[in-house]
Amino acid sequence: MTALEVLAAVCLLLGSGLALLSGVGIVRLPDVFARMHAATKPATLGLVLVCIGVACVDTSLADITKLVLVVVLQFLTAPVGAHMVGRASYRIGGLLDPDTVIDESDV
Amino acid sequence: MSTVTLVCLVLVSIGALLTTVRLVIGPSVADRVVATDLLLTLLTMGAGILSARTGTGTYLIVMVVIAVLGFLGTAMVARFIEGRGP
Amino acid sequence: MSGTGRRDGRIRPVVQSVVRAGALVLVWVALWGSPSVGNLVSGALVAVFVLAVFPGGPGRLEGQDEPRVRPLSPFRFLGRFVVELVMSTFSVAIAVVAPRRRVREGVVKVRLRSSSPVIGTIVANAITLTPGTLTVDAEADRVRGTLLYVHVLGLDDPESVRASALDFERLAIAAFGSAEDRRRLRTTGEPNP
Repeated sequence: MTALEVLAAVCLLLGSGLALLSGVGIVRLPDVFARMHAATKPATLGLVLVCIGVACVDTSLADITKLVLVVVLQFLTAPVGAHMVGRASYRIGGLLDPDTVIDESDV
Repeated sequence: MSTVTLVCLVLVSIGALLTTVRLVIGPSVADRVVATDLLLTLLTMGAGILSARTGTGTYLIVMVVIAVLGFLGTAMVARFIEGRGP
Repeated sequence: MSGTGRRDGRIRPVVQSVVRAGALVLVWVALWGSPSVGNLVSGALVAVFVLAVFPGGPGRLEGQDEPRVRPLSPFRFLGRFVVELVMSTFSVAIAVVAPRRRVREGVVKVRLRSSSPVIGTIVANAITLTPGTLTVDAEADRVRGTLLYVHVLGLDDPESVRASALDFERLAIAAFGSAEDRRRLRTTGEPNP
């Protein structure tokens, strides 16, 4: 295996490991907001790693552009998606853990 | 390489299975939306791994499409929750 | 790109559209892989169509609010961003594996210095991808600066969350900020005006 293939393999494996972590996190964590953390952060990094891995294997310009596009889209949309759900929940107030502290200091 | 991608697909599948558990259990709509969003991200990763496995770029466009449409779906449901409650 | 007076106001939107169309064509050609005549022509057609259907975007802002990209700063921002993303993944891993201790959660209000929606979005997204923090709401405010509501897991100190957010804002403004943002950054050394 060439060095590039080794790099690809490592990236793909790490990315998949993070996919597993997201799944475990979303099941184990105690409330909606915590689960949102698990859904966005490792999944985003995992996707980036998978894209790097694929880019090592498939190096044509057309495909690398697509991968870059996917990464950029993920960065822009994943946090926003979680944010919108979080905002909806925050505004309604029904889903916050009862002992959440809200910092009311006026800034 | 194909063993590596096989292991990767298994890992992602387990993650997806767990996410589906949360999708079913809930308990709130927000939980389910977050689970769906994660599921789509995992799907994108799966498509990428598949592309590396088969060596063709056929599945890359799938990734782009999922990324865009997945976000739209999540945003729509979030607006819906805001209007209606969890 | 300097200039004063009416002539500038009339020329700039055209230049902007051309630059955007050029960028779109570039991406289109890159997606297809080779700069053949067919790709360039179809790219130009698609670009014109897209810009006709979606003319909006940051170009609607006044000249002073235009985002301006400086050469090296985006990389500094990106570097910090990537580091925070990796660390946030570790923190999730720890939270998942560690025994279920009840962590204190909280919501912290962060007042940014900039009012620009571009900076606000970038900082809000960056905060979401840092360890323990998640942006849950944002209020635009042209005068005082955007207000972000940040949910934190394992909250020890609201000020540290604000400091980290404002630091991100500083990096983002240095990289993508408009002239107005940079002025605000210079004049308000402290977060609260």
